[in-house]
Amino acid sequence: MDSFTPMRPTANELLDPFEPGPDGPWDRATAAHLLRRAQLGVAPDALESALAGTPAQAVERVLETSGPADPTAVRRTLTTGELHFVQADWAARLCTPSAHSLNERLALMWHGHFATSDAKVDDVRLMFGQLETLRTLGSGDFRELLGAIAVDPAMLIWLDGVENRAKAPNENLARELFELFGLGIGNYTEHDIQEAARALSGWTVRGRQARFDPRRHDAGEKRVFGKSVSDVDDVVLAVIEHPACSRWVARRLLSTFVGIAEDAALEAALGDRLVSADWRIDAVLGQLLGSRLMLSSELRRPRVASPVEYLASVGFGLGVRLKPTEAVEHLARMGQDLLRPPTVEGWKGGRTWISPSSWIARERCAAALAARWEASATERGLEGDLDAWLTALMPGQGAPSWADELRAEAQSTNMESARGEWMTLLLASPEIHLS
Amino acid sequence: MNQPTRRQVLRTGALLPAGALLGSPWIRTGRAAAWPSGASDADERVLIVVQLTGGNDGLNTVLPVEQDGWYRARPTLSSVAAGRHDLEDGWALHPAMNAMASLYHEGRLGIVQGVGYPVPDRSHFHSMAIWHTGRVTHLETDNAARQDNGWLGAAAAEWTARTGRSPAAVHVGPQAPPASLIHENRPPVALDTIANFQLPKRSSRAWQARERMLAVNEGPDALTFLRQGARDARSLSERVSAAAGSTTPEGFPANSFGRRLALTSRLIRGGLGARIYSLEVGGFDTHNDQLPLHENLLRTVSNGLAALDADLQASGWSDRVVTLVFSEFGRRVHENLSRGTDHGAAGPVFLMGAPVRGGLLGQAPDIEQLERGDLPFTTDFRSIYADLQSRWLGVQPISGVPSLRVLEG
Repeated sequence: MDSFTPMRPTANELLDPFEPGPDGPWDRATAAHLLRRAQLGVAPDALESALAGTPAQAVERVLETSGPADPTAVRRTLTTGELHFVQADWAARLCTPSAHSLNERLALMWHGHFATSDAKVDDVRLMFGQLETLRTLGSGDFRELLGAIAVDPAMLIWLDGVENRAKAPNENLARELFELFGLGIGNYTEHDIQEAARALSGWTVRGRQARFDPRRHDAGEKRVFGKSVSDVDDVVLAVIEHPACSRWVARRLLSTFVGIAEDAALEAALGDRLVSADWRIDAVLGQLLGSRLMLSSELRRPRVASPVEYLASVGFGLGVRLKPTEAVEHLARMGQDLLRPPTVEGWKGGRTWISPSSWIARERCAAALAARWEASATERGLEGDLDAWLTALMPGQGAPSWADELRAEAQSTNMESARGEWMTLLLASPEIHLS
Repeated sequence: MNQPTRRQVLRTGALLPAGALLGSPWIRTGRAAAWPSGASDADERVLIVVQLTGGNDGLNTVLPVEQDGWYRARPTLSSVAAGRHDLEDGWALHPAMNAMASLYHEGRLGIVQGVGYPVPDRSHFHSMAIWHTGRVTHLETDNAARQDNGWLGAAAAEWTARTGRSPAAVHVGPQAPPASLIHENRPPVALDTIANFQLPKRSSRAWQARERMLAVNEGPDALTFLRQGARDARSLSERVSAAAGSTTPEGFPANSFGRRLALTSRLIRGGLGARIYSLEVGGFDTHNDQLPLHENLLRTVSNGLAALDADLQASGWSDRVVTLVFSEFGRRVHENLSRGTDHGAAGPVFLMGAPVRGGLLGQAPDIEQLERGDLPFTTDFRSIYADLQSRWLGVQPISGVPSLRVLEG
């Protein structure tokens, strides 16, 4: 690699592998950024392992956590009909490092993408079923995932697929399949939606299974994007084959992992790589996570951490976690009610996470976390603690300019009674709420 | 402004508890001497919006007791006629709504009947989105970007832009605020209790440390944004506590709706300065065994609103507050086989307060004139919004639909 760096790298150059040295340092801050974005939090041992090897090896290790867990315990709670067991179980998984951390992170991304809410579905088993689909198929072939979601029972209820029949077409699912899930606005016409809706007709949910009823299906001739389509499989295929689809998926990945909302060149380049990788999410994500775009310190974009990212960063970094049902409540108050997204568009994220109400919720959550920490903390000098906490919560980043003062304050107060207070201050500091 | 009107006299200090409004940044001192006129007068007006979520069954709320068709269509549900509270012209209120019937007879309740919009959408989500945005979005044919601005959010933003004051709108309740309050993706202020709207208690040393941490200037834009958010949160939390005061008003029902109305009243009277308050009562999707459920819900709404009215009257705020009560659709005229009703179309909208035109407004529904088994709409909901936007909130109406005068004057 020569020493000349072009002023404006091409999209493909940005997506090519990061080389430590020419592209920037492979240091604590960079490795932590990778882990934080990929798995929501940075566990100290994972950080050390990452630094001990190359960036490519670190990415490999992250990808090894892309397989689904088998949450047998929570299945037993489904008979209660209470969503909060499933929410609590998921919150615990998202905030605890495991061999499935990337998988859970991806499931959260897809949950925001296919945003289905129990507020309407009102069935824990169906919501759990969809979550399981996201876990099982979320890191694999996107074509399979899209096909499965198009006939997922919770989705069919959520977007009125069950109301869609030949005599009374309902366009809701077709519209969102194009607008939100597969293509984005501007890539289809209203006529395409109407025809796709006709092709999607005839599905119902009976006995918690999606069932196709030919009597309700519009069997007439239908054309979407100029192609003849008959049923849901054809519509899904038509979406996949549309040039906008791979770019739309690329946009979701770029937004989630890199923090780029919209970039036509990057989306096209990453979308092409997705198609070349036979639509495998894990393969293209591996490329993205190991890329210059992801790891170069010059290109890094800190952003407001989502409520889940906030809890996970404290869970991974400090090993401090709320009781799962409490975590779910705090997440909801901070604006991220798992399995109950506010609209079909999911959570907008970014700065929209922050309002006076949600910030108050974040500080109150910080106090709850601090109380949990205090309950389990061992005797240690306060001065040493603050540095250790900062390192654990903001790995690789220099201590903020207030750290010295805070340490001095903490030292000069009564240590015993003040520890919880200083931990709350720390966990409520804006620096901790960046991702 | 020469002779003070009766309303202006009521607004002077005479009926206000001494010192109630002192310390609020939005209330000028010396009020008892002269009531400010013009724009600042209008800026004190408050709109409370109560959303009945699920599709309230209008025909079992405002009863057409002289229409045979109603009894035929609702053999079970029409039993409510027995305990009804007569209004006038063959219309009555459900037995559980004695309190609101009294308001009606005192001239402080307007009922607009047959409210809806063209091509009714029977999906909760879609219909509610229509009421929230103030736009009949399902009839908009262009493939435009999703429009997220709520009609109340838009009004709030316009008012804040004009006056520099905020928050303009507050949602009082535990759930996420309704989309009606959203404007350009900014999350609205939402609070359920004063206790939950407090930052964690801490020593004064810790508060000072927090101040210093937030005064730092380094770092990326996102960090600067977060620091401002943290400062705004403390400032608003303190203003809310100050406005809410320490006494809970009496006379409100001891249920969550009653508590939230009481809190709303405290914030209004305490001078928080917000112009729009939003509340929600859920449970109106009565497909099965409607009678007991609906009775409880209507009693909750009626008693709560009447308590609010009495409280505002006693504190002299009655002519500055209008309450709007709506639901995303009415229900079908015929009861179903489960002693309930399914999603319908047009329904009644209620307006409460001294400034409201009392009585039955709009065109009374006729059970014999149905569209596919539903009451057709005779008043477009946007016409109600338009009157409230232009003559109460002082903002631009967002639709071109001519307004229906629901306010006096």
